[in-house]
Amino acid sequence: MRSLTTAATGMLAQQINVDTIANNIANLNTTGFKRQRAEFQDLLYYTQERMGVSSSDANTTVPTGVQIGHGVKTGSIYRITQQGNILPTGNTLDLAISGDGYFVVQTPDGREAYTRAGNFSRNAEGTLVTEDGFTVAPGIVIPEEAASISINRSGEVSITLADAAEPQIIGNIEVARFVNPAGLDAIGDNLFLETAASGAATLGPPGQAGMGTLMQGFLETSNVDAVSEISALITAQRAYEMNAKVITASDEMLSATSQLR
Amino acid sequence: MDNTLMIALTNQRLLRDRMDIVANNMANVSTTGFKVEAPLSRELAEKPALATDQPHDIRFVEAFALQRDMRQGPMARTGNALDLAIEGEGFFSVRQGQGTAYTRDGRFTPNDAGVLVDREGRAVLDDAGGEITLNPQGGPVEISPGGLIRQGGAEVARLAIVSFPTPGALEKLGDNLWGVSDEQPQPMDTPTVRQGMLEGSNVNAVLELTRMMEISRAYENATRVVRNTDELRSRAIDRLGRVGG
Repeated sequence: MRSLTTAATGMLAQQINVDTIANNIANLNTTGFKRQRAEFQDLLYYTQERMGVSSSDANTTVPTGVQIGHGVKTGSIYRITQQGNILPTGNTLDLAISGDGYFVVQTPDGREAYTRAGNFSRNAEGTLVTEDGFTVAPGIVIPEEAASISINRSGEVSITLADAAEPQIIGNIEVARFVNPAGLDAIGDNLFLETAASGAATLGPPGQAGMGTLMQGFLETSNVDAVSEISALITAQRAYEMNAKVITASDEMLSATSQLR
Repeated sequence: MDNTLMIALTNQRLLRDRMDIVANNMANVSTTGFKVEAPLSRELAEKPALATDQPHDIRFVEAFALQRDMRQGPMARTGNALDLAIEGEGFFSVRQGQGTAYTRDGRFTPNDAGVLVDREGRAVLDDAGGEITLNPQGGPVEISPGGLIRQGGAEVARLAIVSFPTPGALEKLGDNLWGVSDEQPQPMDTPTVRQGMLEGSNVNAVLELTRMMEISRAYENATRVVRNTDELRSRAIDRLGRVGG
């Protein structure tokens, strides 16, 4: 019976749905996390009676035909790149992007990764690095003797030395934009990689050509909304149960057949 | 006596098809823009063998058409600027191979070249049948209820939104797509496109569950008919055999 496998695809889809929701809820407090949404599509149809075929000599046609679907599949798990809340932290090396764009990070294997999580710090050499110690492009070295560090909205990093009155610019943080940010490849650790789907990164100073602006002393929170995730979870759970019911009912029908003799 | 078995068999086949369709409805309870369907059955014109000389009109039954419920699914706000839903009738047009397919699933996104595509990468078509290209630097995209796409205040294109005289007669292609069979698309003058919203599946879970119970009980009944007929026959053979011996 087809309905057995059809309902199984439904259960499988809801399982993926629950997995996605679980990941969103688990990342409720992850800096710069963007929630995901499992998206479904119907599977192929088996056409038992084609619509539009002639049904009599009098040229009447079958209006709708009989098409039996094979269930559902997960079309994609789409990342919703909506802005998260911007929370003040008071930490001078915490940066948030207000608007579009990603920080560029050099991974140890020489690749460029992109992130929305701007909780940076200095390593032993004074280089601006991420939580995992990966260099933030273009590799700004903050001298040890800097008394204060300020990063303005357009990414200019300036320091004031203890004995100097005037601040001096030591570098610029650039951000990257993508035509289709939902097409980025998430590799964990809040990092993303460029893909053919996302398009090539466009680098530029924050605040120009559609790039977001930087905010020093702030962090972008996860854009997961707990309430809507929980309601989505309930819906997914019920849908799972209902598909399980279909399997039970189909099984009863099969057993009725097999008990004929 | 053969007729009873055959009629019960056609009934069982019909019930299986119904069950398959209910299972498909249930599986698609969270598929964007899915429209619920139910088979329509009819009596076959041809009478079964041995029925012609009997007073009762005995007929086989078969599924001959699908009834598609084209009612609006529930609208859910997603906040994603390129999630679109059509309120009321209408379909979005996407390029499928050389032709055009239609969908109620408005989850669109720009691809790496800035062309507006659906989740499988098919280009979304404008009212002139061309692709819609968004400028990545062009700022936020606004889509009016009439389907006009504006980016940064400048008009980009108008979505091709079409309607069909009998939308239920379209062929479902899978991937949330509908293809034309007999119907010809007609451009809509006043569609209602909602930006940042998606249309959910219009499957009514309660209805489907009751339908499912109904089907499985009816199937059991059909099975019982087969069993009883079988017993009847076996008893007849038994009795008649005794008389003859």
